[in-house]
Amino acid sequence: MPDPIVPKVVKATVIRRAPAPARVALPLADAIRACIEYAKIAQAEKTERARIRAKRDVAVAAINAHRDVILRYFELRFKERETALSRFFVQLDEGIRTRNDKLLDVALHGIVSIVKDNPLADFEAFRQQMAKPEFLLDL
Amino acid sequence: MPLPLIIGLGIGAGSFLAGIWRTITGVTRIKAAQARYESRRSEYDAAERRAKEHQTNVETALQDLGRERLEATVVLGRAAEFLGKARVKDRELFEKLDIPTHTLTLWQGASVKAIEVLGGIGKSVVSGALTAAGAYSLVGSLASASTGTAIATLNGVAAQNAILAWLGGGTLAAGGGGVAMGTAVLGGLVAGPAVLVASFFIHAKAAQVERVVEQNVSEMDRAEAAMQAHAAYLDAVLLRVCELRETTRRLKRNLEELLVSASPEDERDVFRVAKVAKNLGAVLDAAVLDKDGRPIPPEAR
Repeated sequence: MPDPIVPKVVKATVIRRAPAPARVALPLADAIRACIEYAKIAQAEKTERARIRAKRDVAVAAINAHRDVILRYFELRFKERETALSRFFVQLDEGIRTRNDKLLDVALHGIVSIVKDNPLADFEAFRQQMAKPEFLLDL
Repeated sequence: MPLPLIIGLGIGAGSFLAGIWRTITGVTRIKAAQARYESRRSEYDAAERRAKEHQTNVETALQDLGRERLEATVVLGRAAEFLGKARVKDRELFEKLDIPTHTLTLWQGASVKAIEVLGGIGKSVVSGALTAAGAYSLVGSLASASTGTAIATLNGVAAQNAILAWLGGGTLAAGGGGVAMGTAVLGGLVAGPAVLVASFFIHAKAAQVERVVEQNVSEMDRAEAAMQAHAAYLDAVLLRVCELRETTRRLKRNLEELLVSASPEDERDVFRVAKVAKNLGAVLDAAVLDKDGRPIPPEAR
């Protein structure tokens, strides 16, 4: 590290003895250097901010796409299950009321088949499949 | 006045005024960046509170399901008692409905423990048992525990912790460290520029502060998006819980009605009770989450 006192002494001697425009020139050169330095920093920081934003946008878009898949998948799955369950419960009530054992069997089998099939577990498998690069969604 | 002196004074005054102006704009930039951070932070905190409320709703729904399942287990015990009295041979129950004798014993045992747990409702330890009863296969775990109290105090609390850990995933874990650290980093950077006098340095610091704020805001954006994705998953868990609760409630009601009207002397009545009881047992054994509180994998079904 250079001794900081020396430049001060040199500056003081040179500037005091120099004509007025030259006295202004030296601090002006410092200001220009600071300005150039700032321009470099500003540019680097601007680039960095743009990089952070772009990275964020990609990550948020991926998460939102995943969320949309979750919402749509479960909305559809549970809707169709609800419809089927309602139908089976109507059959069950009817089967019990009319003592119709065949209807009772069909209804109970239908209800338990639906309930035992856990859509949350299905989704885990679906998500694992979706993570594979070769995954294709058939609609 | 000599011309060089006028030029020198002009440059000096001009740069002084420009320096003052740039210093003011530099400080304004820093304050604007700080305000942006604070505004985003308060939005993020609100989103985190909403995520926690969501988690609590799911936990409450699991407890409601647990209570419904325990009550259904009690009715299952009554069905086992009815079938024990009925004039149907055990072999017939096994051959026609695949209900072995030990299943009836299991239902009765589970029913006794369910009554024990239900009797303790209101005590804080029981909330864990209710959550566990809602989340896991019920009859088997009730039968394997030595007493209902054991479920409430040990299994239940451990299970509840695992469930809560999963339910809360994606909130604090997703954004936590970075966001919390951001505040400290931001504080240091804002304090630093205050002592700088040169306008360019202030602007350079402002640019750095803006970058740190950008980083923190981005982290919060990502964490909030992750929270929303997790909330969508929790909504799915909630739908599943509601589906199981409704199915359990209706089957329990059907079984209760049958038990009121059925006669142990009438073979067809007995088989109807046995069928509904068996299927209610299967519904009670449907798990929502695995032991670690995650949705159960397909191979475990």
